[in-house]
Amino acid sequence: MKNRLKVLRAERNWSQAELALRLDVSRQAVNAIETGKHDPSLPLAFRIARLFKLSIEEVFDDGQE
Amino acid sequence: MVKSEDRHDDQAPGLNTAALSVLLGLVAWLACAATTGVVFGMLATKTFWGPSVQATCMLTVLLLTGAGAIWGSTWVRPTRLKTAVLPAWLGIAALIGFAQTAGVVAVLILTKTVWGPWHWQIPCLLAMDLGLGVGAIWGLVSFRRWKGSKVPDEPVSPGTRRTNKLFALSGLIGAVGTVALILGTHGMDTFSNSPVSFGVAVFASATWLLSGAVSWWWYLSSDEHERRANDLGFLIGGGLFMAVTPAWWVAARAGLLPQPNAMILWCGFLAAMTIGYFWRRNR
Repeated sequence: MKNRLKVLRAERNWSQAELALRLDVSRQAVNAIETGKHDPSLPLAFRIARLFKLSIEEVFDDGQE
Repeated sequence: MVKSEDRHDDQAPGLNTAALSVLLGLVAWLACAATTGVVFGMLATKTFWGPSVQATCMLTVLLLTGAGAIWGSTWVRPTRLKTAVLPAWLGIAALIGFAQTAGVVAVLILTKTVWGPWHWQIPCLLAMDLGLGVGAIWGLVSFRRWKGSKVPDEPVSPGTRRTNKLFALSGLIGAVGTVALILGTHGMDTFSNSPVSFGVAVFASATWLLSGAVSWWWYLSSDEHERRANDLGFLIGGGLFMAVTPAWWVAARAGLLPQPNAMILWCGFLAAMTIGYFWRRNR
């Protein structure tokens, strides 16, 4: 699944570790999500979307549309 | 705030960091070379199959020193100095690790003792050598991602810090049980099927059960990425165990192989699980 996590993070000048701190996950988890190697669960996807004050669809793209 | 990926390249390498990286590399090289020397010395003096506890401890310390020095090199800053020195040390470590593994296996085949009985030092030595080689190769393969990815002062979330502590605690408790077993079995019979005293058996079993309970606690408190990596590790390790155990068992009944050895199966499961876990976690 594609996502805009890296762009959103860069806009705020956050490192992966800083984003991981805000989401209470490991830096490896953020890296895996950013590179599309790990699709987050629905609760984590909501946490990410809320952190950036966006909807889930604005952060993640399943390529269906 | 400056991104962690950008923190290191804005300054030239100072004398201290340059000297430190060279020193770490030399320590790693000397430790690995000394390990090779000790192993060949044991082969030459025919004490390889029954080395003293002191020799085994020395080998362990040397290998750990080499691996530790290489690991220390990953923290060298600025990044471009690290990228210059680290691959060389990793390459040497991989070469030595695999060369020693091949040497030990060759000796086992030549002396027709590949199916045992093994002294307990042999699987330990093989595991450490293979671990050194595989770890170094893994480091080389994933090296590009290392650039700037490890910053000593980078923030760590409370959940990650907690799971890291639980992981370490679990390993520490398990190690206490193993040390108790080693001390209680007079050195040579640790991983054999020889009898152990009631007290050693109860203490070691209790620590391993406790270690398992802490591992479960770690699993429940880890984040979903970590948990999925652990799931994959167990799937690979469990799959290997499920396939190899009955195959070995039936082959032993046909006289093709010796009786199944629980410790070898356990080591295989642990190695496969660890590789699967770290691959999924850090790829």
